[in-house]
Amino acid sequence: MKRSLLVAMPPLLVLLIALLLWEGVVAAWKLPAYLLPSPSAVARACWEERARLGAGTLQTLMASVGGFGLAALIGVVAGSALGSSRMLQRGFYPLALLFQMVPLVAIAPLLVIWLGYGLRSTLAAAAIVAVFPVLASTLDGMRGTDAGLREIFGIYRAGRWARWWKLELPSAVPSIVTGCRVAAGLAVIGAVVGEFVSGYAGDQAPLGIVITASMREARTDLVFAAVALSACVGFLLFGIVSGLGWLLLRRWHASAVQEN
Amino acid sequence: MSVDGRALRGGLGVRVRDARVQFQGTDALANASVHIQSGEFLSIVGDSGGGKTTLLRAIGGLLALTSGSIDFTDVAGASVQVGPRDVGFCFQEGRLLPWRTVAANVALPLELEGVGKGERLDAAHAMLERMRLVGVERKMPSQLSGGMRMRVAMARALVTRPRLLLLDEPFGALDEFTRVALDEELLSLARESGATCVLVTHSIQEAVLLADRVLVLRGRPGVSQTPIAVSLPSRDEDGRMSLEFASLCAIVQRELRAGSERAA
Repeated sequence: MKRSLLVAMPPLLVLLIALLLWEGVVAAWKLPAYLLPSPSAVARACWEERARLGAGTLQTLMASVGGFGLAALIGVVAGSALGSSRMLQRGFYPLALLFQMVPLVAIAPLLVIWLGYGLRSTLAAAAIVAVFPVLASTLDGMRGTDAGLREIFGIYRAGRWARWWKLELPSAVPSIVTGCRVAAGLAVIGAVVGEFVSGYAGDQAPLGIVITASMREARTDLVFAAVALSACVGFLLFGIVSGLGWLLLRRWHASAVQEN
Repeated sequence: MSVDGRALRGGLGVRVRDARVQFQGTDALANASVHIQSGEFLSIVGDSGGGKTTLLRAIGGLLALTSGSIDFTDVAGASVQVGPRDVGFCFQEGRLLPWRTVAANVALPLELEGVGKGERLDAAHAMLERMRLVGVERKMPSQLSGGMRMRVAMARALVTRPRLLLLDEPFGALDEFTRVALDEELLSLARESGATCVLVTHSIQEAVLLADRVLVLRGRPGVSQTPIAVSLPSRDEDGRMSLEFASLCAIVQRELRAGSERAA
């Protein structure tokens, strides 16, 4: 308890000071709310528009979590396939790298064409940006499997499947967890960017739509509120992924054991 | 029961003829020949880079010979094919899976063979009991001392009741006291299991103390000499203090040094 307080205190303190400064600057220069609303104004907007923001947060959360889950699944499966075969790796990995370089905003309209407006498209957008780190970390982790342990599995003539499930995948878990943590943050970015293009407007509008709509209405306070909430979604997802990773690794891996 | 029945089949004999192994054109092992008797304990000593480990790995089928042959025989001297259960390996690094408990590590060879969960865990438990490792079954390898980890690795090597046990400097990373304790343990395990044992070691004392015969690989790459027979009044503390022990160590030492001088 004392330790977690020690960890949480400094950043919270810095945040508080920054908010106070911000509040002070807005008040001192009498900045108009459409240019820079004060933190208290943002908080007020949060409260007044709580129904809309709550529904939006839920939509963005679903897209992010769903997109992340899909990315984690595809990333681990595809990464394992590439890690198991040098031929597949040579053929597909450079293409995966290339695919990774395509900007999401550029494909988002395609997603609308194929999947329509709404959650399906935004979930796909989140998955597309999140999949690569998982794939790459799975591949790296598998290739880093200890040669001595591989030899043990060879001595007992383990089959391809047993090698993967009992040796390579567990070996890759620390690396996969790291990849998933990166992917968690990216999934939220992917979801919000996807929503800019393919979000479904209405009373269930996701945060990305809340942001663009509020921008047009010069409701800068709502823009800030939605941005802050999407950051919270990212933080939540990152926390969940880190927690799951810790659970998986706590019994044997140094990265988790040290935190004990 | 099928697991226990294996011990009765006796140790494998190994006939190594003119074995030669090349890595990228250079000899790692040159013309090694030795006939290891069924149930015998053979120690291999030699200069580092002399091919001790290469010979051991070739016997275990972990690398292919460039020329020569390695054949296996049963107690009666008839030629036999070896399966994955027949050979047990013990490496210096232990090579345990860090994400598995001690019990699951020991059960691994049986698990990879498709032995059912209950049966393999029973076998693992029995082996751990024999190695005096009761109470650590649920621990992770990282929670154990180096000596304990080695004992777990030995339990894993022995869980299939192998007929040939190959040991690659198994206790090389341990302190002297732990090493002596494990040497004694290994000796009694070897006798009790009836398995043929081949030990690669840097320590002449260890080689002599454990073995029925000591094979010297002289030079780099090593050339196998006629194995030196070891006969000691006993293999305990008294044995280690005996005159026979000291003179055997000296003989092995001389056999080795004759090679190094020529190389230098």
